[in-house]
Amino acid sequence: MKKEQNIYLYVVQLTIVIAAVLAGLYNVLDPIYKQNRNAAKKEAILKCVPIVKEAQLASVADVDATFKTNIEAIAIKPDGTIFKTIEEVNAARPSMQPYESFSNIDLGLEEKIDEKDRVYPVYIYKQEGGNYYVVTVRGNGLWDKIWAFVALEADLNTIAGIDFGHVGETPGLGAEIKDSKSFKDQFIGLKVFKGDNVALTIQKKGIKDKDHDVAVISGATVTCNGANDMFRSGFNHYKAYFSKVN
Amino acid sequence: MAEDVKNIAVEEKEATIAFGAKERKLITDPLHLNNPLTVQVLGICSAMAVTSQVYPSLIMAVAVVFVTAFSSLIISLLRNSVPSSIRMIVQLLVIAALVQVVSLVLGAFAYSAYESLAVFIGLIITNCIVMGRLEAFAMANRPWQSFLDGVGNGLGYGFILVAMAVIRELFGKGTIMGLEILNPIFGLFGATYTPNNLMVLPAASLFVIGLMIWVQRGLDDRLVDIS
Repeated sequence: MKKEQNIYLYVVQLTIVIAAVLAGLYNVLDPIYKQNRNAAKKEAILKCVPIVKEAQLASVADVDATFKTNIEAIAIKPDGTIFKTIEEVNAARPSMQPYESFSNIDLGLEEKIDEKDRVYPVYIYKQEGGNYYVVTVRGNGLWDKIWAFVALEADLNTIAGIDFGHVGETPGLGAEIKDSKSFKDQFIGLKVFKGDNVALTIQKKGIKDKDHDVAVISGATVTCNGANDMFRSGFNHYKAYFSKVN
Repeated sequence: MAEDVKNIAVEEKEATIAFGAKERKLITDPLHLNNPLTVQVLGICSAMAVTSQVYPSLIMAVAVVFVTAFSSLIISLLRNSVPSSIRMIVQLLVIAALVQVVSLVLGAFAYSAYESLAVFIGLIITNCIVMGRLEAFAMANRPWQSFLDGVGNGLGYGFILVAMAVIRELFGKGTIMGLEILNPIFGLFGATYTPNNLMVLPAASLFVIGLMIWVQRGLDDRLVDIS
């Protein structure tokens, strides 16, 4: 009995010491991590906008500054409702965890609730002679989630830039949606909509429609099919808002 | 059994020089003669997963060196007080804590590497090399020797990891650390290099490590009898 008590005591003591050390470290390092993660997202958004230069994204602070001065963020609902501040979004959905800012809107969380209640962020890059509108689409790749930030020109149809992200696509194959510059460059200048429908497609069998088709990445068929589904559903959420703006 | 005897012998001998012949051997042995990856064939899982590119492999190597070295040190310091019936739980606790430290530090200071390694950082906990060294060495040796043994084994693992990553990235993408290597060379002869997609798939790491084991054993007769 005595011996057993010693073992419990030992484990409890050790656990307390380790927990204290980890908790201390977490308190110091986690804010930096969150900053990094936010900056990475902001960088991905800004990267899509063609007039943003490398130098403006050199450091975390630069990214923050560029984002702050140039981007006006709003959120929209699939029915076209516009939220100008994040407080309005939070007030409209009291049952949801409140968001700190528009760039914190988590589409993964949004997917879990009813489609008509979801909010989608729109990042507007203010510029004379036509704003850029960066929208987010999200879907399934081969292994896990994929997403893309798409910068549209002021006509809300022509793609000015695109940046993909993924959780765990195969490096060299599916992950090329993020890593291959030549793949992403194909999108620039294409149109998203044809009439009322989303026509942007990654084509397996050669490009048929010069305005809407992108050539597939060989060996990444499932990821590319997932991206096509992502475009279909993703851009449709923004359609009501787009027709309001134009 | 034979190894146990040897390990105890190390402890009994008074260690007065910090870097005596024995200590040096603790570092150099795992690099070649007792390499955890190519000789003991431990820790293959993570070697398969992260070696498609050099940069994440480098970060992984550093992370594993840190974890093996400090878990060995801590366990060696605790070795006389740990109740033997729960020693593995204690070892796991220490390893898990250190891996969490690595994860926090990477998230804060090397965010891009943290992103590309993702779950594999957490999986260092399951890397057989770490716990293997704790059981086989740190539980029976002085802290300094255990620390060196941890560093040595981490380096032995990391060295092979990076070597594999260089081969795989070079042929799979034509680059090293994202730098174009093969295309400029092929360009001299007016050709372009078509990346071999097989090399970036996990299966390729098995071919590569198989070849490495073959070459290493072919070059050194001492390794043939060990297995």
